[in-house]
Amino acid sequence: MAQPQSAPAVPAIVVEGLVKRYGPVAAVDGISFTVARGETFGLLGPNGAGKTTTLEIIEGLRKPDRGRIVIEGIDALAEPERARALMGVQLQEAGLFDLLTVAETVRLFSRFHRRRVDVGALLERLQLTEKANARVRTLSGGQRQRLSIALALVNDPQVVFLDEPTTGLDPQARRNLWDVIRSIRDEGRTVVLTTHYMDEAEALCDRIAIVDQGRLIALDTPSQLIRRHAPGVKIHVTPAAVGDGTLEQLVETLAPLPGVTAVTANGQGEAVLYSDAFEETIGALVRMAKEGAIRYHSLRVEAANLEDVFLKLTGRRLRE
Amino acid sequence: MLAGILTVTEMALRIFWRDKHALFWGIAFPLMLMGLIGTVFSDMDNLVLRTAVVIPDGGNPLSQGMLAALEDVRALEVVVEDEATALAALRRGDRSLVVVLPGDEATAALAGGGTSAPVPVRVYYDEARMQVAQAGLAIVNGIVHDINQRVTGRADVLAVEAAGVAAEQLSMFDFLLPGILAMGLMQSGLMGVSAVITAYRERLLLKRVLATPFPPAAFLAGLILRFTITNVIQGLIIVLVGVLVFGARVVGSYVHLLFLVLVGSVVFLTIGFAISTVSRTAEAANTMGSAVAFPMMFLSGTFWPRELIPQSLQPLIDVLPLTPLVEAMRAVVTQGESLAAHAAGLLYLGAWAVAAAVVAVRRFRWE
Repeated sequence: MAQPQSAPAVPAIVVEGLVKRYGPVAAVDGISFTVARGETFGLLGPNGAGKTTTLEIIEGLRKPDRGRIVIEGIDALAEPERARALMGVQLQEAGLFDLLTVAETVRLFSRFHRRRVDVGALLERLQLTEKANARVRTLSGGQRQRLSIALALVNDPQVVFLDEPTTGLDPQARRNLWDVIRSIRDEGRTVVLTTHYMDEAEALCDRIAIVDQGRLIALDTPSQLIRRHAPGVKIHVTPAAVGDGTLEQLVETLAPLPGVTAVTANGQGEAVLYSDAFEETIGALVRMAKEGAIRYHSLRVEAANLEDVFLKLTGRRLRE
Repeated sequence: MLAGILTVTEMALRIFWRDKHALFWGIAFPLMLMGLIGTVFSDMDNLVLRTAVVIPDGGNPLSQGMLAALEDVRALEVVVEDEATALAALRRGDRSLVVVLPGDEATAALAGGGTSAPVPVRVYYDEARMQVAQAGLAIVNGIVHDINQRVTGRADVLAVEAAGVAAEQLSMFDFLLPGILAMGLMQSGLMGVSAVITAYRERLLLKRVLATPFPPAAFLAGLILRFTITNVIQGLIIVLVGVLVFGARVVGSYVHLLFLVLVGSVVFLTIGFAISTVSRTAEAANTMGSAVAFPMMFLSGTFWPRELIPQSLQPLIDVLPLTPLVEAMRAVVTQGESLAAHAAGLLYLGAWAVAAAVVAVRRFRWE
């Protein structure tokens, strides 16, 4: 986790030893991290991992039991008002006033801040100009979400928090929102987002913190995370015959192959081999097939991704 | 900050204006109730008055003449009965009026040439049905006056003596207007405020505001201002329609009435806020509000005098916050009484507001 040492710049966010308990359950159990200015930082984890709680503590919406939060050099727990002025917050699943228009909504929320941006320009950059006079009730899911992000940008914030910005959107709307989030980053703002889509984290984030059961279990760039925790490739093997015990037998047979670090049976009736020596493993597979030791229907090779990192680290899938 | 509060108020007013449900319950419903109840009850009064005529002492020319005159009036359905039967029927509600004609003393008075005091024609009526009494007394008065003029052509021989409370000149709409006015305020608070605040919390809109530097109390202040404005507008429309369309009369001061509207607005708004701290969903808030509002609406003298409600419920009626508001408003509208005469009721309302505010402030949750 090499931070650029040359610039002694103030980090955008410093979080230290955050703890938040609800009764006997520690929703956040000692989380620490630092986000550099201009960075897009992802909190990745399954539902209930503590992502949203962590985010809402940083945003000042919840009080931590322990810990320290510094936003742009301001102690956010001691001076929440000053810290809040620098932040733009998009809340997960927060509603909007259905009977107001898009422009009225932005105008209302811009009144809640001292610093304001031009409403027209803001709507323009979120592609909402055409919908300016439409009631919020009539917006599509993607448009609502863009409006929600517009409200997070209405005070020209230095740090933008986006809590699961694309959950529930169709693929095209998600891509569209990714472009919006990239443009926020391109303006030099720091972005902190939570997601349980690993492709989203990979596409948008400079660095990713993986959170599980209130703890931060890994923190690095996406490529480093993959290299360290899920190196090599994944080989999906579909057996030729389907029957009782066939898959389990195949998994057992494949485990000792050269280069194989792990074998699992996935839910689609495939054996999945993790290999750090792609060519040797494939060679052995082909040889066994020629000798008739195994019979497979197809082979599919994939680079490992964050999903695999998560699976490896927690033994669970991101979305279960 | 003031600009922020006013923007919240402006947006909340826009939402109210675009919300067909809120418009219906806030404006149309009270007007409909006033029109319906007022019309139904007025029509009933305009139907036939079942009138019992009591003729003591076996009758005399004067009483026979009066009986004939009463029978000639189309609005009266005349039955001749003895006094005890007639009064029992009046108490049961089977008779609208009981007219006791003079006996032999009238003949004597007639013979005396009008030098003696007028002989009473006693009219019994139901105190709870003031308009019926009004109509009946007017008819009997007319007949007596006629007979006085025709028979003697001189000083009055007879005079109508109304037994009961001296009647005000009261129409059904005069009575109904303050009741509907108070009911509208109650509904706006118990159902409107509680449902709006609960919905904003349920849908995380309050949390959204909390995530900005805007003081959350200022956001609530904006909403309170919006409800106060819509309450005054609602009251204004009810009074205008009541007076201009239904011919209600406001005897007392409009300034006093406005003051009472503001008092009622504050009281039921705070109760609405208190309810919103208990309910989790907007539906629950609405149900809870209705459960409190509807019994109150029927008990507190909104549509009919509380005296019509059984004695056993009167202590409950005394406790309800709508009761003193209706009473004070009705006293201003129909009697032109001063607010000072209702200081106790107003203080009681203030106590309700304080209690509700304590609950609201203590228990208020943003999410």
